[in-house]
Amino acid sequence: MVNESGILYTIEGLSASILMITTAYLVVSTTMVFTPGDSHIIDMQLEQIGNDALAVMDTPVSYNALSPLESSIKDNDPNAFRSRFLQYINTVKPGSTIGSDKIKFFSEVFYRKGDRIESYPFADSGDVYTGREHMVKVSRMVFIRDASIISALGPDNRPQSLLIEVTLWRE
Amino acid sequence: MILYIIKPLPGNMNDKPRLKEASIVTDDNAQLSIDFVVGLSIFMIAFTIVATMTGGLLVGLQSKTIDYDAVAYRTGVILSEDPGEMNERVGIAYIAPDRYAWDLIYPGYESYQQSNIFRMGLAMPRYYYDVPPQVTMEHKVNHFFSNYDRSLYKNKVIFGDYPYNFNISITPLNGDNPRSIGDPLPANHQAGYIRRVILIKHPANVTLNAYDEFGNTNGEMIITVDFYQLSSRTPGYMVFPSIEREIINLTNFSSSNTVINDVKVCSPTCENPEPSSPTIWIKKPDGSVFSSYPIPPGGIPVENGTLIEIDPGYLSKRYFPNLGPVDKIDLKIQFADPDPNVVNHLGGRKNFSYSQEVTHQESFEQPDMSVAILEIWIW
Repeated sequence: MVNESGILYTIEGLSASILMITTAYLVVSTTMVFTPGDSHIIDMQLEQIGNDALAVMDTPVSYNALSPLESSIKDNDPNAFRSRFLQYINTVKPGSTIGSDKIKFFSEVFYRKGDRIESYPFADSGDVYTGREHMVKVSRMVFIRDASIISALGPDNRPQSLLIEVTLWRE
Repeated sequence: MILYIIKPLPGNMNDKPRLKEASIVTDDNAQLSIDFVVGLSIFMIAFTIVATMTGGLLVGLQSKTIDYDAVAYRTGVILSEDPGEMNERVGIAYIAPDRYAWDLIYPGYESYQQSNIFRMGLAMPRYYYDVPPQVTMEHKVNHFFSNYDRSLYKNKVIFGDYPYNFNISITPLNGDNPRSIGDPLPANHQAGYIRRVILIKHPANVTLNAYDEFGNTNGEMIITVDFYQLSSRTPGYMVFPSIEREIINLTNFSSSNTVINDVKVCSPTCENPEPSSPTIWIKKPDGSVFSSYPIPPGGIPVENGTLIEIDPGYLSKRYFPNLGPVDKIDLKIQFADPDPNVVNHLGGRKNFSYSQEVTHQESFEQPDMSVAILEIWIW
């Protein structure tokens, strides 16, 4: 006979199943809708220009010459590094609306002394900040053949690889 | 709706309960049957879930705005790190010097361009393992920014089915003119953007002394381009004779009446250069340009600073079918002068090579690689 006894059992079963299905759906469904505001990959562009500038600075421009990066580190000349690096990362097409880009940087050189890793600060763009939002770090290993000048700053006086680490951010 | 409820009537307690008719309007119990409530709520929950999922159906359909930066980045990689690629042989004909020389398609084969170039890139080909990164070649950069063809560039550099607008600009840091191709930049669109730093490798030149002190030259200068000898430097600083421009600077002419009568190219049999590009050109310091074949009657007058330029792509297999990597090509230049004494001391055996007789004011010069900024906008 059809009557209403047992309705509570049915409802218990149904509500339990709905609860489980709803939880499973919430866990499994991850649909993200992109808005135009997310369409710029700001950090990647900054990292790309920083890596490019270091790679180009580390290439000798004539046969058997030292690369500008190696000579500015070897001669401990942060001014030469700063002017060249800022020119490479901030130049844009003439006549463009932004004039020139406003990327700032701070760099350090890391070296190995015995079994310790130490560092000394190298060039920076004049600000004493170590970074702002959307700051990226790019680095490059530089092989220095003649470390006599920089041995005063800490590294051993021997041919060695140094790591130059540059932090970049857009003002 | 008509519902039946069981309600005892007031009054007689011994009577059996009787059904009473009640309608939803007049009845004041305000209860729906439990079946209906449960069924409706399950339906509504299911309907709400499906309705919220329809937003996700549209993701991926018109997502062009998130693509702009990705397309710009990919184009930047293709231009600055990829030498490009093409089919250099169609059937038995060589249509280009090698598979990376998409800008040096031989004359007469331009119609093969659209279907045989896979990609256009500006970088130096990685023939060797130690090519420095992001080094581009000047002849590719010049060709790319001078021969803009929108549909070809869209298919061979930008790729993708969506009709992207693009603008590619190069700004050299050494003072050369900036150039750009593509559509003018939009004022108010959000555009995908990437900026790359590249190096440009420039053609090398050799300065040769036209005066030979030993005499007995009979006015003939033989310049040997030895491919094997030229491959002795590391690749970023090497001359690639088949695909780069070679420039020979002649100096130390003692007489102002000297002319060039004849130019021949020998490998080893001698023949005349081509009448049109790619070929050998004679350029005077005042800017006038003469082709090396046919020579105008009376010869081409020369003076200090006359340049002999070999076009990129000329010293290659199409024009010299037996050319191999250890071969050499001789350039024979015949000078003439009314004074036989001058003629006897004009010319000599020379080399287009890295080491020159510095004592005789001869030198090899390769301009430093110059830095340029490449910018790409996509919208």
